[in-house]
Amino acid sequence: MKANNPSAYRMAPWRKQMKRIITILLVTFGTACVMLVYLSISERMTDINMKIQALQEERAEYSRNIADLTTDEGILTAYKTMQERAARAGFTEIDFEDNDQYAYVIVDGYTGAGINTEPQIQEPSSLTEIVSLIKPEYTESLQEWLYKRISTGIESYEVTN
Amino acid sequence: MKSQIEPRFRVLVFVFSFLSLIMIGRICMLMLDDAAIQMKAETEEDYEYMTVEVSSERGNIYDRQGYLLAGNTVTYSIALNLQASNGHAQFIADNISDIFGLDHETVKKVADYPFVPGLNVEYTLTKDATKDQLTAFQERKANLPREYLNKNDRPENLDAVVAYPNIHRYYPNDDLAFNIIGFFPYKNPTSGAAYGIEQYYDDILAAQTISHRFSLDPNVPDRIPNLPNGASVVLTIDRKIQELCENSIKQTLANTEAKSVTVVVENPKTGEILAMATSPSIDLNEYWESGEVFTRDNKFNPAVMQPYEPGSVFKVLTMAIAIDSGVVKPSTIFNDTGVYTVMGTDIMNWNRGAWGPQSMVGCMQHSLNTCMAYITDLVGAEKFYEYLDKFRIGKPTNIELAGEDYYPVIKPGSSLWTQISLSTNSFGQGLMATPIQMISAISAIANNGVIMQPHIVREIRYNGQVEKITPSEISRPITAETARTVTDMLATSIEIEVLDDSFEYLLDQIRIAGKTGTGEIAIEGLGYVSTTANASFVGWGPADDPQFIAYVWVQEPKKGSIWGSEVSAPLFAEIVQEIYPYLRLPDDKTRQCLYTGVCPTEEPEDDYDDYGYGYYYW
Repeated sequence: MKANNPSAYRMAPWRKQMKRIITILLVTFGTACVMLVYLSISERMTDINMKIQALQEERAEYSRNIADLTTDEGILTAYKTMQERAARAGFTEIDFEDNDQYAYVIVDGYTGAGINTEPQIQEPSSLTEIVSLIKPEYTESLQEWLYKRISTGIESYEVTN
Repeated sequence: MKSQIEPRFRVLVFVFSFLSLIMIGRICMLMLDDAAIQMKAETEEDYEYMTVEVSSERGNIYDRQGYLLAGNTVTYSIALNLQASNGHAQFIADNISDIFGLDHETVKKVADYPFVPGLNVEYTLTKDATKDQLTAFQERKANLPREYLNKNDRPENLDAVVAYPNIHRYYPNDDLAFNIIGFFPYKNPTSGAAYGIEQYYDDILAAQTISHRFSLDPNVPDRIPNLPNGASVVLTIDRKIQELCENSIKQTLANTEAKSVTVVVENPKTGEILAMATSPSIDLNEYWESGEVFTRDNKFNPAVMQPYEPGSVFKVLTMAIAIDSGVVKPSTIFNDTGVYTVMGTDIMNWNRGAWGPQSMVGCMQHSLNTCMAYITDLVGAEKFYEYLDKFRIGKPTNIELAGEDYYPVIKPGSSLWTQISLSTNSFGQGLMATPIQMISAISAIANNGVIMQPHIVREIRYNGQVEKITPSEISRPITAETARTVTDMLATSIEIEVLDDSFEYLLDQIRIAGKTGTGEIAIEGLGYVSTTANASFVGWGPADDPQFIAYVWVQEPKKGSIWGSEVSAPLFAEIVQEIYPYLRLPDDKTRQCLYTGVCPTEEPEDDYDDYGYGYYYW
């Protein structure tokens, strides 16, 4: 009977246990790694979102300040204010009935500071394009990415040829 | 070992599998359950999204040099967070009512309004706090004394007081050019802009506000859209000329006690309006006064909103039509008997007088109604009204100001028109026009027969782009030769027509062409009355190369004279004396010296023009 039951080596039970534990640990570690990557991306995106909100508020405040300062400048240069300031500074208006107070001369090429000069206006121009801090990698889907790559590839091909 | 470990392991696997199945089943149930779905949606709404109001600013308005006429400024809404203010009413009222100018008792009462989550959370105390007030509040908040303790024995604070910035419209020059600018009611923005540029260009000046749903989920990347500010508008008016006009008309209004005084100054070569002033006026920062100051008979901007019977200034157009159609020449003689009868109705002169034989220049000098009725008969009704169409009388000018009004001309074919209408129309009765229509029509005579589109906007600036408004011709009612002839006639006639000292002084400096007008006013049941009138004047100069045209309307002067020659002409002279140097225009004598090198030293005594009427020239 013994000859019909040949003995064979098999893995020791503790080794089997160890193998299972290592497998579970590897899976756990892998999952943890994936979660870490996910958490890292989430953290960065949260941070970016917070920055966007903070910058938005900052931009709105700057925008309000610019508008306020432009109006302050308008108040300081208002006609009556400037007249009063000129008077305080000792300037007087020319009496155009008194020819001794002024003289007209022709200066070739001089267009003068008359009413036809260009308006002096400094306005902050708005951004014409939407600027995002978020990289496209975070916003585009796989299909969009593929489409973009294919389009870019086609365009490059066309340019090359 | 095998028999001990494997069964236990199998049991463990079975138990975990069973629990997993229960969990999956439960998740499926939750995902399909309506109440759970709704709860999820509500939770998402409350905790995963934030709605952000994104606004841009209303565009600015500038004068032609770039000085700000309408801009935006920041004010603050001051509110109480009721959750934090409940129980601290006395302390809050003591510390903020003086800074923000609020009633102490009201603040105290409001601070104790019961806090109800979702319903009664905040109460706005004021929407008009200034930056200085906010700074004062912040300083006080930072330096609060520590001895005041609340119920929990902690120092009292002002954390319940919150401030939110608002942008509101501000007009740095107060009432300057109020009638052109109009206003945006910052206290009640939903009622919309009113009058002038503010209303006309409201759609492009307007700020944009959008509500953006901002995701709080870090896995949902988002960006806040960038809204460009409203367009800015640069006007053709010059604030110096505008101010000079406004100062003069305010004085005239006080002296004459008229209902209103209006002046329009235009460059006839381009159609640019250099000034459009009216009095009475309002400070645009207190726009709510407009309801009390302006009435049906005295509108916000009479220059474009109030047609009236212009009276004798209209004779300028009648004479231009007669000369252009060839029925009369400047030297044609009309024998004035003091009465011209049409269909049994007598047309008489302003003073009921008879002036004998008069050339056409004499007709204008003495402003003869009879002569005008005579020459329109020669022109004929059909041609006369064709010319009025070309002069665009009875049509809107389409100037970029809100509320432009016009009164269609009653023509042959209408049941209201008779042959007498032609005669009365010839001297500005029985038809109505606004000052802007009148100046636009008469500008043809000052600009070689061409009417340029009157406009008050020089540029529109939007998002870094500049659109310049280019002058455009809208009509050519008469020939250049007719325009020059009529200008010469009126430059001659005005010397006799107006005998005011200031006007004569002006004529010594500059050769001006012009015409007075005293339009009688029709009162229901009484007809035309002579006790009150609309006193007008139109003039342009220098006569050899007109650089400006100005129109003056004094509405129903009550004190002193009612005659255009005595009320409007002196005002015109005063304004032109003031603005002429500012237009960089030397007087005629200096101009002659500068450009020809020949300087006249004394006035020729017996110099006469082609029509037998002397005038001073170089």
